[in-house]
Amino acid sequence: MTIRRAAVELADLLNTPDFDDVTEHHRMSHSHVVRDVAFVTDIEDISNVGPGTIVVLDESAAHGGWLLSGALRYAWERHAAALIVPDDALAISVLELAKRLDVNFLSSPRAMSRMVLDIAIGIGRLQAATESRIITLRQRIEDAPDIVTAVGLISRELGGCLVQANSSGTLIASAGKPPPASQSARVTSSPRPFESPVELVALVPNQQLEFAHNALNAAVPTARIMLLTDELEAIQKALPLLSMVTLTGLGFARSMQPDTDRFADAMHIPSHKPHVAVCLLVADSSHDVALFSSPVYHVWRRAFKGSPLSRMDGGWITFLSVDAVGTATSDAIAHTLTERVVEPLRAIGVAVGISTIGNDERIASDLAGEAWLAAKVARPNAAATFDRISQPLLSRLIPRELAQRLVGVYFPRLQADSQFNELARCAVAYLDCVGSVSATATRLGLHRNTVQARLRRITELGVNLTEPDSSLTQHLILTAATRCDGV
Amino acid sequence: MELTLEDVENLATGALFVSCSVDHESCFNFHDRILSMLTSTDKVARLVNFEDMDPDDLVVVIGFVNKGLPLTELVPVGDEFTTGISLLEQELGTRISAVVPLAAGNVNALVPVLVGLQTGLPTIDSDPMGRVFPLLSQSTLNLAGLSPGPFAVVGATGDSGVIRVTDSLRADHIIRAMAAEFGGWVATVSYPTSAARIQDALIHGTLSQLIRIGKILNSQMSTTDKYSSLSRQFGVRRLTRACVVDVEGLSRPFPRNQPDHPTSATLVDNVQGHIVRLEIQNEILLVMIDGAVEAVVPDIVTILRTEDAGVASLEDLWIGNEVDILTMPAAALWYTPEGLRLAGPDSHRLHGARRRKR
Repeated sequence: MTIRRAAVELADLLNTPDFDDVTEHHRMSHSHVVRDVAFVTDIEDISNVGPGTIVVLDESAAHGGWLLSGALRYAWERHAAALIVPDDALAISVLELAKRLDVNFLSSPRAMSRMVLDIAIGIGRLQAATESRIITLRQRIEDAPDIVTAVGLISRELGGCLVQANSSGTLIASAGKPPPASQSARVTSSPRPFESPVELVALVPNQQLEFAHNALNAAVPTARIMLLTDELEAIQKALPLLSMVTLTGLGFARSMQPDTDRFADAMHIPSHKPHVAVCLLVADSSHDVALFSSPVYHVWRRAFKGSPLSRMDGGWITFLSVDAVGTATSDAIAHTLTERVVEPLRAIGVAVGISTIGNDERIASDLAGEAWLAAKVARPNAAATFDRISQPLLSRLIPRELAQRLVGVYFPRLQADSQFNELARCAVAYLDCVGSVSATATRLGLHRNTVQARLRRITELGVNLTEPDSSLTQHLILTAATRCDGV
Repeated sequence: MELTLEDVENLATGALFVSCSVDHESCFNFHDRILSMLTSTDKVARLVNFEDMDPDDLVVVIGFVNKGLPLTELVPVGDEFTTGISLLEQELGTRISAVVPLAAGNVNALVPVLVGLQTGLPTIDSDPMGRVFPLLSQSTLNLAGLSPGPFAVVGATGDSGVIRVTDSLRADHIIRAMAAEFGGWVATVSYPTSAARIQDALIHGTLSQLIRIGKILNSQMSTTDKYSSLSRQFGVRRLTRACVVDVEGLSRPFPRNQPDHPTSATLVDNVQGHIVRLEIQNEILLVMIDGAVEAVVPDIVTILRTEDAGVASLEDLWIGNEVDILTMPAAALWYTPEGLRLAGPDSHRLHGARRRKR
C-alpha cells in the first residue's frame, strides 16, 4: 500500500509532538525530503518503493534480524527517506548496518499500521503549509514593480539566502548572501522561440532545498514576464531611432519611414551637446540576436537608463550623451562602456563600437556609421572607438567565410595546398615585416631557412608577394582568411 | 575403486567442507574407525558407480537422523547399520547389494564406507542431496516420487524397528519422533529400491567430488592457491574474510520440524568495514553483506580458518575470531522451481531472501 504525498522535510515531520515516541537510531548525515509513505508487509515490496519514501515495516515483515538487514539494504538502494520498524525488532547488528549504509533508521512502540496513517496525515499537513507559503510568495512577487524587487522578496522568504536571476548567462538581479554549506536550487523558464529563457538560482542550506525549488518554480513565470516587459518598453522608446537608423544607409530596418524633424527629441540628445553613437553587435553572427534581447536591454537600462537601445540587424544601436557617460574622451567612454555593458554581457560575447564625439544631430547618420564600423572591427567582449581603428583591424571587416572564398578565387593553388595555413601566416608576416626574411623568421619563431622555403613554395603556388599593387589586397584577404574565431 | 587411507582422509575433509555444522567430532570418530579397519584388517572399502551394478540389485540409503543431540553426546556402538540392514532384508526377503549415503556431507558421507567395511557391501558414488539438508524429505528421491519405506531404524540403546510408510514428509515426522524417543538420534536404512529405478533419482559423483575437494584442502598449497583451485574446479567463491562481533540465538521464528534453533552471527570485514550476517540452522543458510543477500540455501556456505584454509565448524564463530566465508553452488536440480520449493529459502522460513543475479 503506497500513499502518494508531495515532498516535505523529514526533520519537519519528525519534530512534531505526533512523533514523540519515535526513537532515532541513526539520522542521515544530510537532510532528506519525504515524498511518500509505504507500509511494507512483505520484505520484497521495499524493492518497489520510490526515492524519498518513508518505509514503515509491519511487525510480520520485521521478525528477524536478517529481514531488517535486507530492509535497510533495500531502503539504501531505493534512496528511501527513512525506515521505521517496531521497537521489539531491533538488534545491535542492524543499528551498525544503518550507520554504515547511512539510512535514517527509526523505531517506535506504536502499532505500525497506526504509524503509517499518522505519517500520511503529517505529510499532508506540512504540504498544505508549504503550499500556502508558496502561494503568498507568488502573489507578492506579482505585485513587485521590477525583477530586482522580486528577487529580493524571494531571498527574504528564503531567510536572506543568495538568489539570482540570469538570462543568457547574464546576471540580471541578485539579492542576499550564500549561507555556509549551501546547495543550489535552479529553475529555468520554458524555452520559447526567439526568447532567452530566465533562470532563477538560489543558494540555500540543504534542508531548504526543496522549498527553495518550489519557491523559484512559483516565481519564474513572473520573472519572465518582467523581463519581457522591460524589453517591450525599451523597444517602444526606441521606435523613432529605428527610423533614424534607416537614414544612415547601413541597411537597418529599411521598412521604417524617417521623420527627420523629430529625431533630436526622439534621440534624447540635447541640441548642441556632445554625444556619441554606440553600436552593440553579437560577436557570433550565427546566433539570433532576439535570443539575447532581454539581458542586453536589462543591462543597458541599468547602465544608461535615459538612452534607449534600438534593435538592428545583428545587434543594437543608440546615441549616448557624453554627460550621461560622465567623461569627455572617446577612450574614457570606451572604458566606461566596457565596465558597465561589455563585462556584464560577457556570457553573450558582445562587441561594442563607439563613434567620434559630435554635437550636431544633423550628422547623426555619420556617427551611426562610424559606431557600426568600429563594432565590426572590435573583438568580442571589447569596445573599440572609430578614431582608433588601425589598418590591421580593417581586415576584420571582411568576414572569414568571405575571405576564404576570395582566397579560392585569387589564390586557388595556395588554398589547395595541404600546408595552406602555415603558408598564409608566413605570407602575412612577410608582408607585415616589409619583405624582411629575418624579421619574419623572428616573428614566427622559425628558422630563416624554413621561412625562405615557405616563401619559395608560396611563389611556386602563384602568389607574388613582391608586387606593391597587390600586397594590400593579399594582406587583407589572407589575414581575414586565417583569423581564428573569437580573436 | 578401492579407497585408500589418503582417500578416506580427503573424504572426511571434503565432507566437513560442504556441511559447516557444529559437530565435527562424529565425523572424526567415523574417520578413525574406518582407518582402524583398513589398517588392521584386509578388508577393502569399495566406491562403485551404477555401471558396476545389476539393474535388479537392491540398493538402500543409509544415514543418521538426529533430533537435537549430536552423535558425540551419545556415541554409536557401531552395529546400528548392520542391524538395520538385516532387519530390512528380513522384511523384504531380499539381499541388499549396495548402500548409498543419505547425504554427501558430514558424518553421513563416511557412514556407508564404514558399513561397507563391516558388511562387504560397496558404496555407490551418489547421494540424494549433493550436500546436507536438515530434513529427510529434502532429497532428490522425494522429488522423484520414490517411497522411503519400508525403512529400518535403530537407536543408540539397541531399540529398532521397521516402519512401513510411503510418504517422505510422514516418514520425516515419524523418524524425528523416534529419534527423540531413542535417545537423540537414529540410524536409518531407507528407500529400498532397485538400482535401475533409484539411479535416475540421485546426484552422481558426489563422494568422489568430496575426495577431490579434501585433496585440495589437505595439500601443502598456500591458502590463496587452495582457493584458486576450489574456484576453478568447483565454482567455490570466497565471499569475505571477516571477524565475528555478535552471535544471537532465536534470531527468527522457529521453522516447523527443524531439528535445531535458528541462530545468527554478525561479522565485520576489517578491511572494508562490510557488515556480514549469517543465518544458521544446522547449516549456514544465508549470507548477507551490508544487507544484500550474497548466498542463500540451496547454495552451500562454509567457513574456513584464515591461516591455513582448514575447515572450521560453527563453534569457530566466537566473538573476535576471523574466518573466511565461502560459497559453492549446489546441484543444479536444487535451483529448479521444484527444487527451490522443497529446499529453497522459503522452506527455511527465509521468505524473500533472493540472491542478486550476477
